[in-house]
Amino acid sequence: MNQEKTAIGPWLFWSLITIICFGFGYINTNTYNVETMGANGYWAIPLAAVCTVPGLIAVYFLMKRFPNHNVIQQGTLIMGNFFGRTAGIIYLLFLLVYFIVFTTDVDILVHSYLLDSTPFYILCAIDLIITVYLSTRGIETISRIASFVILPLVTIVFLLFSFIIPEIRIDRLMPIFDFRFNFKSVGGPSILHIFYPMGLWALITPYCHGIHQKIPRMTLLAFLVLICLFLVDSIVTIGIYGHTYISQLPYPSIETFRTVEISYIFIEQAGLFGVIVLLASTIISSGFSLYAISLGMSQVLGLWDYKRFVWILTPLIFITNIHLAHPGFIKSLSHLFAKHGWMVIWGYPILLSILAFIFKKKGKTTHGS
Amino acid sequence: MVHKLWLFLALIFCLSGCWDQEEVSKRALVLAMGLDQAAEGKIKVSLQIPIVEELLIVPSGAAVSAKPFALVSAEGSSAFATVPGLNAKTQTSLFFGQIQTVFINTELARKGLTGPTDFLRRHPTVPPQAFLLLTERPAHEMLEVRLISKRIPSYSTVTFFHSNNKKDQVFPQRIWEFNRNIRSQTQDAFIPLIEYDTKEETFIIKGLGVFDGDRLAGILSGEETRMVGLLTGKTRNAYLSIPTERFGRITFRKVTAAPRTKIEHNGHQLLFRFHVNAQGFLVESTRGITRFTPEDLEWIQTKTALYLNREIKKAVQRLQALNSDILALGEKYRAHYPRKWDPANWKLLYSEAKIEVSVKFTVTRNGTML
Repeated sequence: MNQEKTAIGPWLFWSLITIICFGFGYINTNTYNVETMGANGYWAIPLAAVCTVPGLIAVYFLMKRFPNHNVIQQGTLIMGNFFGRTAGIIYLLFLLVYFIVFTTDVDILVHSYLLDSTPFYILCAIDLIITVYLSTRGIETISRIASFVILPLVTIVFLLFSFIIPEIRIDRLMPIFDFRFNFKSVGGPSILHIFYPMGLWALITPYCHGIHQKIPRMTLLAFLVLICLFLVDSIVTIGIYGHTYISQLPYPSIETFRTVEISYIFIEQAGLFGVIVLLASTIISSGFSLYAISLGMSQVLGLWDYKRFVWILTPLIFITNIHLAHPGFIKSLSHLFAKHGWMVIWGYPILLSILAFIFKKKGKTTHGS
Repeated sequence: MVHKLWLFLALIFCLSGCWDQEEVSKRALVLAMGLDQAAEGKIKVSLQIPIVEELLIVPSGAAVSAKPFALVSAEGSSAFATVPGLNAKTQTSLFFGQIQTVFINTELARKGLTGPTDFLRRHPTVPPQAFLLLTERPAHEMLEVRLISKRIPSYSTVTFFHSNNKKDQVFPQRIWEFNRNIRSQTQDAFIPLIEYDTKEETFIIKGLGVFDGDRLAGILSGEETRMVGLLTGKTRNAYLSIPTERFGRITFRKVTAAPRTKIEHNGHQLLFRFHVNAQGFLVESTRGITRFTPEDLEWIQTKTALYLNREIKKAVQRLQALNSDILALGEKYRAHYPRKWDPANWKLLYSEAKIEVSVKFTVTRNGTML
């Protein structure tokens, strides 16, 4: 079995979880936030971070108890072969469908904003080829690319948002502490979706065997950076568009970037830089997601290795991308996953940690077994 | 073998630009657009397209055309439905990604702009930062006027809005702002009104068209627009001239304002309290008075504050009469009274609200004379 014998360092870990959360989150964040909390939609960011902590603690707890196993393997050790594999398959299928919906949404974004004459299946193919190539390189390569991209991404995003700050109207962000939650339609738990990708860490815990002590600090650092990025995004978007108009925009963050104008410099439409940077984070997120899902599949089925599963899943993903390519349908699916995804992504590790605690299950502590 | 496979697949990546690529010379770059109401409820769209060869400097000194741009127009049942007709009139592909300005005729604006401007927000290549301008002339006429300062008329509007010294009675409205405001329940839109002086061959900004929803409700004069600018804090370099008995006509430049607005709700009526801290550089006294004493300056400041108080109140009352909330007071009311906010009755509350204005004016400089 082609099992990686590698480990990732703290900086790579931090870069990875920051980039994948940002890549997955920026597309729909503001829509869900304003649907749930109106003009206070920016509060959804720290709220989502707080609600994510129990799930992360569960993953960390499982990692400490089973240092050489990821959540799929932990499932079989805790719940037995049959239930563990069944639960693992359901978990992975959920992640796979979520991944397909996300990549289709991004492909539609590219098709709508940038390359509208290029056939959609070509865009899907290009996206998938890059994602597949990245995912077959393994966790170390993906995390190194993430660490390479993270600093320019954060810099450019903050710079672009700073250019739009003069357009913000404070009244649109007020009242600041008028908390009224809307649980209808896309509202409610959908605000938690921006931190769902952190749950994918549960699939790579064996590669963090050297940095257990540093993971809480790195996770906290990732939270801080992500909260800053998404808060700035949310405050700027709500501040310039108002919460009622945002619900009419398919990609509010992209529209915010498009309003950036730096007069008399060649980058009059500076928003294009933002779109390119965001797409880079999306590709890394996709690469890591596909790697993690393939790794899990190979483990739960006990067949081959993750590279083969990447190739097995590729045509399935491609065909599904093409057939799901209706913007309204994709948005509905995205809303569904955002609203209910926490039950699987955080619910499964929490369930496993409770069962491990009750049944006093523990894994071997030596690495490489 | 694997590497060759990746190379082959990478070729697909390189070929991806083929569908969307288009040589610049094969594009008809649209610099400005005009929207007019046509007969039978149709919309006339006019496009200003530069003729690149006429714009280039020719070393041989060959004669250059007096009009270095082309104007094409078409009518359709909606704004974007005219594009096939426009495409039929151009040899190259229309490219909307360089639109600088959109002129809208007031007749069309009075009927409502939600429909005619919808494609401006949906089309991915139309720059959301393009400026909107209202005109009482037909918009297609404004696209082909001759200007003394620029060979392509639309460029003059761009440099006009980007100039810092023009922020007196001209406040730009870009496509993305306009589309947000006409669909907002808490704020109304405005568009500067532009006119053309045939004798001096130049554009004139005449005032501000204010909207109620998506319909043009009325036009503010230059003075009213200046007062609105002071109330919103948009003014960067206003000019103010007031008559006085003691010093003749006093003129100020670089007038700026820091406004504060409060809304109070006493149960059945709203009260808008505007407090404006304005300041300016004294630049002219038609009686040539110098050596202003502190008492003189105090007197001038009081006089100017009274003048501004009166004019600002008139401007706000005009906006109320037109039922146009370009000051975004609805947004403020929603922010401070979220439980009482009801979009359905906002306009009624707005039109019946009382106004209180207090102005403090400071002369910060006397110029180069005492």
